[in-house]
Amino acid sequence: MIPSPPTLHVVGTEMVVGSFALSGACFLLALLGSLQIWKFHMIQKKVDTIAHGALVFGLLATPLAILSGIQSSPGDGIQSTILATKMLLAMSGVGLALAILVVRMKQGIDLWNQTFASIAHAMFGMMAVGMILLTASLGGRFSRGESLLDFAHLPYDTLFLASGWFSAVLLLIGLANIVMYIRRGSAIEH
Amino acid sequence: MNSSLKTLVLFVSLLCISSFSQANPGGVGPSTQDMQCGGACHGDADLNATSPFTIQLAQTSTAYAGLPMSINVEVSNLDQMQINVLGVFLLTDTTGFEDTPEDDGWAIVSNSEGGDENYAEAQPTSTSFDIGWVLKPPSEPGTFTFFASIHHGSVDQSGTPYFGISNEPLTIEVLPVPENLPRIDPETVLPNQRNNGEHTTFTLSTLEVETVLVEWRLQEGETHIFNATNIGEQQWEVTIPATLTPHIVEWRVTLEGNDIVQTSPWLQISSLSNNVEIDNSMLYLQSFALLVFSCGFYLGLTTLLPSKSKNEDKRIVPLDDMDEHNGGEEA
Repeated sequence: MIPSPPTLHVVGTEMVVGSFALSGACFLLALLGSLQIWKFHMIQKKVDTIAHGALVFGLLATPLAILSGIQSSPGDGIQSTILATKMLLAMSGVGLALAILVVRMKQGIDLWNQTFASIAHAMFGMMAVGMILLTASLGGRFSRGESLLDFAHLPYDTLFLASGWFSAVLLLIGLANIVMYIRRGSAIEH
Repeated sequence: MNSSLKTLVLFVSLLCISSFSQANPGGVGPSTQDMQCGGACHGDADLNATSPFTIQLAQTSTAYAGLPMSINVEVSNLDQMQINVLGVFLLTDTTGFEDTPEDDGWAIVSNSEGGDENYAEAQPTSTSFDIGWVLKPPSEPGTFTFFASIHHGSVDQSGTPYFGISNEPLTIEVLPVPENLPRIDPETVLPNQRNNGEHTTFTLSTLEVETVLVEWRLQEGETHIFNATNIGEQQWEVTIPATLTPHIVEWRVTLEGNDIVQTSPWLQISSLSNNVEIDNSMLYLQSFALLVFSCGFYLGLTTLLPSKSKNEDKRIVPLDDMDEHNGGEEA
């Protein structure tokens, strides 16, 4: 039997949430180890591998979760502030996670030997994880009317939908930063 | 094939499978649809199985040209099959092309599911399900036929789409409006949606009317009655109270004039908490922009960070030396 989009969405979100949660926990451990708050040099390298490995797996499962989520949402396309906010949060989280992986690939494990870089890397890693987990939490609010984050009284009826030109500016700034990063990398190699 | 590629192929395959599903088990939402949705709801119409449900149409108020009237669609024998979502179409023919009431000059004012389209979805909980449409007939009298059709799936066979259509068409004769008939001005725009928690106040324009009695109720709830306030020549102010939760309020008016009493059909005003009109293309653009921006933001930030190694401070054991600490297990 062919699985329906809602079923695939459940499978997809479970994979995404599980992977990202594991990744977030490992980023926290890596940061604690790197700052010597919790000294466990023996597993520092493993924690780094798990954090980024889980992030890769979560990123692979994210398109499945997003596309099956759009397919199983009621109505044509997205017509709910919660679903639209989920979309924006998920994509922001994916972008951040991609950058985390690129930086890790570029700098290698030596990244954890640099004070500011290690703090930034772990913090942004956990931020990406937080965005994805918040996205999943909003899904619970949409489908069941409640979520673990209800205590925070989030503005579920509010959607920050910008105009086209603002999105274009964001896009250009992002692309400029990516180009700057690539050029800097190739300049160092030369 | 390396493991990353295998994983990628697996996920792409899963995505493809989901788009090849023959139906939309979650429904497509209230919308204006020709019969069979032009293939958009249930893939290929030839793959539809015949629904075991019975569909009956009934005209529930007299149709005068340009004045609101109502049609009821009853879907029964729902105990024949367990379903999640039932989609109901109100149609003026069965060609599958330009067969909506709008195509025949009718305007849909509201329906009992809270929309103003000819296709509505519901999740029935008993053995029969009723849905009512309030429509404005064309301004010219005439005879019209209506059909109702349904789409649904099955809990037991979720891959099979089902289709059903009313056995007999409903013939409606639209009568010319008697000159002295107290009535709602055909030009009046009747509200059918509002934001949750807001009162609805609107001006009802009438013709040949001396008094206006307004009744409102929650669906299946107690009926409340009040007199509309006269604010001008054949102008009446009507206020429908707010609902605190998403709900559909039904209202109707009883118009008196020229010793004639005329009652409108029950009209619906739905209040939904967070359903809004969202431009999806703008949303997707902003989503993609945020993806690129957040990616670029961190990448750009790393170019600004000082790259002083902590090893230079000799604060921690160099990572390169870890393998030695771990007994060279990585080697």
